[in-house]
Amino acid sequence: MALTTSGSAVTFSGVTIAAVFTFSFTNQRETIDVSEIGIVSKSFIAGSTTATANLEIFYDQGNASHLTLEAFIASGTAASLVITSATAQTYTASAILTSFEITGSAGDVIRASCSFQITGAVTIA
Amino acid sequence: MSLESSVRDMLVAGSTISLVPDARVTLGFRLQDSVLPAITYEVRETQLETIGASPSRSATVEIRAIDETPLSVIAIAAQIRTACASGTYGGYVFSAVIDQGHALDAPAVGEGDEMQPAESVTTILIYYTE
Repeated sequence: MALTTSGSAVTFSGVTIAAVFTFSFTNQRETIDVSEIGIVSKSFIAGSTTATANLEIFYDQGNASHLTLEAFIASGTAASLVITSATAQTYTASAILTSFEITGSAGDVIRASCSFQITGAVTIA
Repeated sequence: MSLESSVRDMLVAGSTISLVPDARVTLGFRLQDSVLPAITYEVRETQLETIGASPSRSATVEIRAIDETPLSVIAIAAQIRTACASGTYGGYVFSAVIDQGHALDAPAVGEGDEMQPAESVTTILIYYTE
């Protein structure tokens, strides 16, 4: 069944981020090459996992949630990131805001792109 | 309320458009023999812009200033651009109203035909929430 974003939301440090128009969450597992000499087929074992997340918002410095989010660039502290992809379907992890990029162009609204590095385990529930 | 009626509320708010009486600001069309000057407008398309239960949307709106001479419609179009401003209209919150340009159509007349009046079409992009 396809789901819409009508039930979606993003919170960081307990604050719901306003005016989100795109979110993404990437969870990757590295692999370790354990191939042996003389064996044609390569072999791998599972390595560490790493996760990142991104959001894009219609930026408004007058919006308290945007100000709160942007302040995490200066503080560098990790906080709880919860991405609700659809109603009751969440990705929860501790995250560090690694970039906050604002863009504007003539004939368009101001936008901001935010990147997060996940630290520790991700809870998918 | 509807987006269309909110756009009309924006156009008539505060009598910014003094060159055209409010009664001549109409959605979609005007009768061919109705009094000029007049303004018609139409919502070309709307799009969903943000996530969540109360999403932001955008709408492209075309607003036509119609009168007998090009200079007159240019003056009306200038007032239209001033009237197109962010605010709350009929319960709709217009968070950003962006002027995307305008085009002028000169009046045309053919032998034996009724004169086609001059028109200036202003295109705006509105970001709004219901």
